[in-house]
Amino acid sequence: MTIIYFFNGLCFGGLALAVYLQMRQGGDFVLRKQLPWLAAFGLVSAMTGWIDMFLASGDIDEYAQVLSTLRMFTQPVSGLLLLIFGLRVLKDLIPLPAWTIFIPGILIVPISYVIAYAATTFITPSPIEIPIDIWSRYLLYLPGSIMAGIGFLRLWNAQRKLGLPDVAGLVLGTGLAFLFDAFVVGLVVPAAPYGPASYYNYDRVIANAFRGEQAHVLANSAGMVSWLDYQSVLDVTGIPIQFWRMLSAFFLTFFMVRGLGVFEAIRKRQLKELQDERDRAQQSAFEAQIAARQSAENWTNALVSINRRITELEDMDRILLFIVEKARMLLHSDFVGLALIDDSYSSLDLKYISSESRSEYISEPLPIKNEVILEAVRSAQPYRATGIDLPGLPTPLGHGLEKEIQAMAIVPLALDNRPVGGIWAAHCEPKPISETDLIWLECMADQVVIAIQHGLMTSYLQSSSITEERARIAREMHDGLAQVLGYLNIEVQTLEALLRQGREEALKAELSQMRAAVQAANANVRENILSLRTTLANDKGLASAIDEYLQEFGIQTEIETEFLGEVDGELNLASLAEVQLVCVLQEALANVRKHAQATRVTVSIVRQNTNGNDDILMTVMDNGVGFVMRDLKHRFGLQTMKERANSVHGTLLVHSIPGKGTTIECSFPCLPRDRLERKPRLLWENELCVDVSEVTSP
Amino acid sequence: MNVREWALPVYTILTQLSIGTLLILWSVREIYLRQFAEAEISRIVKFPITIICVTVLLAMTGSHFHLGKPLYSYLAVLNFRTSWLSREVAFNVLLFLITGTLAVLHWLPGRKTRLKTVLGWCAILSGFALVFSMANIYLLPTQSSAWNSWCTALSFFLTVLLLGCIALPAMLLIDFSFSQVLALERSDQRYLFIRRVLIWSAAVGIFAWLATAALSFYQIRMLYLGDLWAQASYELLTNLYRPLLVLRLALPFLGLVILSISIFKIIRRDRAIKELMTPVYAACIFVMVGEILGRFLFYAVHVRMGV
Repeated sequence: MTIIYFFNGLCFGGLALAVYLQMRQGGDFVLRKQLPWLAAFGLVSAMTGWIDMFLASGDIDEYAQVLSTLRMFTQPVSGLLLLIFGLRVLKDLIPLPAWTIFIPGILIVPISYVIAYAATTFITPSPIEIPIDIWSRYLLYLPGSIMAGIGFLRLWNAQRKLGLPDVAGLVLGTGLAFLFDAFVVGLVVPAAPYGPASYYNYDRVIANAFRGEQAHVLANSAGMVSWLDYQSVLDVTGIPIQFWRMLSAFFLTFFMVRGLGVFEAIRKRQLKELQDERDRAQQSAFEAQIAARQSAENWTNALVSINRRITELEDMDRILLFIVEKARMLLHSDFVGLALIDDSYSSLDLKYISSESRSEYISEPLPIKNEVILEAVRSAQPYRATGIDLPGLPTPLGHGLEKEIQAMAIVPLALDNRPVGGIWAAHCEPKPISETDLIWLECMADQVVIAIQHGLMTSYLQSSSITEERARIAREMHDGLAQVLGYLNIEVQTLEALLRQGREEALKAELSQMRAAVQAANANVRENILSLRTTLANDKGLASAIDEYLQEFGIQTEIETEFLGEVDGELNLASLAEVQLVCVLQEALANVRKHAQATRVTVSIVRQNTNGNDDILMTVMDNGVGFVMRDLKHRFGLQTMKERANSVHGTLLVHSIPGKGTTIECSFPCLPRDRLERKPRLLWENELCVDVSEVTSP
Repeated sequence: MNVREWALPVYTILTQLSIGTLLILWSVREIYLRQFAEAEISRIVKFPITIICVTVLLAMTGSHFHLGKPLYSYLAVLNFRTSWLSREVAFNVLLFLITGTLAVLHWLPGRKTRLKTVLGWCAILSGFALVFSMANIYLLPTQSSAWNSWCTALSFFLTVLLLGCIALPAMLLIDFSFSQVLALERSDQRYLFIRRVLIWSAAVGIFAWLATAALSFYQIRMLYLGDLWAQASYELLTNLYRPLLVLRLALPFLGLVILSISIFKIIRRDRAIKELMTPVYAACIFVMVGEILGRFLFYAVHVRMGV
């Protein structure tokens, strides 16, 4: 028996130690709050077990009374700790159903009776240790173990449903161990002259007193048999209850210690899940950042592209249609429309639309009737509405948007603080338009205004240029052809006089001068015609245009010309740079004709790469008389050429040696590659793009 | 005491608990019927009245364990004119029927406020008659000196009062918590009602305990000064059962102290009403145990006169 008590105490001591160590590891896992109670229970139970061991050994009679008294405290205390642990396990591990709130109320009456009954048993002649032992078991161990057992079984059920069979198995073992403990520790009590387990024993005692030898027979016949006391357990199993209790302590400790390991594993798994979740969140945030950056980049590229088109004087309808298309694509909208106020300032007409099915310029007046859009334009206030707060939106809008609108944003357009129209984006799916989307739409609206402003300015400049060109041609005619004609008129009069005087030699000389003047005038006129004829609207490209111009120049001037075009495809120069290149070439060839007395001129165009940027290098080389470089300052034609080149970020170099001809090297920067790559895609990607020949520029 | 003997404390205590709870409940209902909406009062009363009915039924069932032939228990009412026991049984059945009707009325739709009020007071009257009959069983001249005194009836009525004061708050709190858990309805008025019930209960409970304590000391003195059988009872009470006598008086006091402190905190709004459940349950258990022990002592100190 001493050994049994020793192992009993050892098991509970091991349980207390294991739980204490688990507590020291910390962490937030299931059972964490209940562990102190379990550790305390294990410690006090170990003390009780070892007190029993010393009492059973019989070797310490002088301390027997002290130990016995101590046991009267340790046993109820350990039972109380188990009761608290069980209550917390039952209540806290998994929330109880609502109806269980009635259970304490229902149990008040029976518990009161049991406590009252227990109190009455202390006045029986049996030693005080017996009622303490019995009622510690009935009132503390039994409910404590049952509650802990049920708590763990509920946890087992939960783990099983979560698909964690290994954990569930151990939790089930712990629950069953507690239920077994409830039976062998809480329900089996020592014999005593009162119930409930020994109630019939009490009657049997009375019967023995009064019936003598026949008592046993009478007791059996009356159903008065002992049950669930130590003797009955020994009779049924052949093993004393102390052994079963030791076994129960072992099971309890084994499953709890294993279970704690599992709880630790669960904690680690939860930690890992949290880490994974954090990683996923980080990844999501990272992806969101990338997406936001990508979106911002897309918007920036779109804005740059729009600006490039504006600066390259592209047709305004194309630009506005491009803006509408871009806005729809980048906002992932189902529809984007752009309406402008008409000239009479009386109607807001839909002009440009973009939807999944088509993007087009609407030439016919199509007044907007929707009050929401009109009000936004009138008030010059952006408007954004989603879902239920959509008041009377156009449903549907038509023009490629036949579905019902779920969200919409409108941004008014204002030029010099005057409303000129509005741009709006619409979603047919319940997808909100964010504040950021609205900001981007406002950026697009700004671009629309800039494009319109630029278009108006270009139109003004064009008309101004025409006027200037007319004036220049008039001046040219006045200074050139008119002067020659005046000169010829005087010469004709001189010839008449010489003819009347009969001075034949002088007449011939005058005729010779007249011929030279007419030839010079003819060359000038032809050159001007050639210059006027040479435009950049040549479908074959700039290089071909230069080649043709050079051939024409050779025919007119009888100077041998050679063109070395070493560039495949487009020169990829900005529009202004192309204009300046042609002007520089014309000026250079005019100089060759007028001053160089050359018989041969070579023009070459080469693409060269400088510091990663492409340049077009045009070289005009003649075999004429050349000039001294120090006279360069006085040559205004060359200065003009240099200014032209510099105006488009180009350079111009002149090399000349008297008697050995002149070489002019002119370099112009090409457009960046990324812009060149996007250029065709943006222009022709939409097959339904409007035919620009039908569009009238303002 | 064996099981058969414990049936009497079970029966008497549960019956008195039911009557006391009904008395307090109906008194509070009467006071606050004009302050609260009738429908709200009905909702509040519904659960306690059902529990009272069930408790009366349980008490009646428990009493059968005391009978030698439980199946013939209905014959007990036949001697209504001459026997206090028959009257006790008859009033008990009447109490059950009225409380049962009240419970059904509260669960059924419809107001019927006046009918409920009348039935409630009828139930209380039949309960009083029951307790009085119960006490008179022990007031026979042939009985023990410890029993044959007006103190018995008074102590029974004080138990009615004390148990009612402590059981009603527990019932209301359970119902309140359940309705909160299920979010069944708005509970502002219920909270107010329970708060007032708690204050009333504590006040009446303390009065009942003081009266009980005084009566106990008076009874002890009477036994001490009484005849031989009375002195035998006195000896038992002050020697063998002294620890139980101390517990019998101390536990209800402790319970009422716990209840009063909790109510004080409620008044100062230191606690949510749901947090009162544990102290109210504890107080309820303490008072119940004290009263059961009192009833145990009542039977235990009985010394039979004659053969």
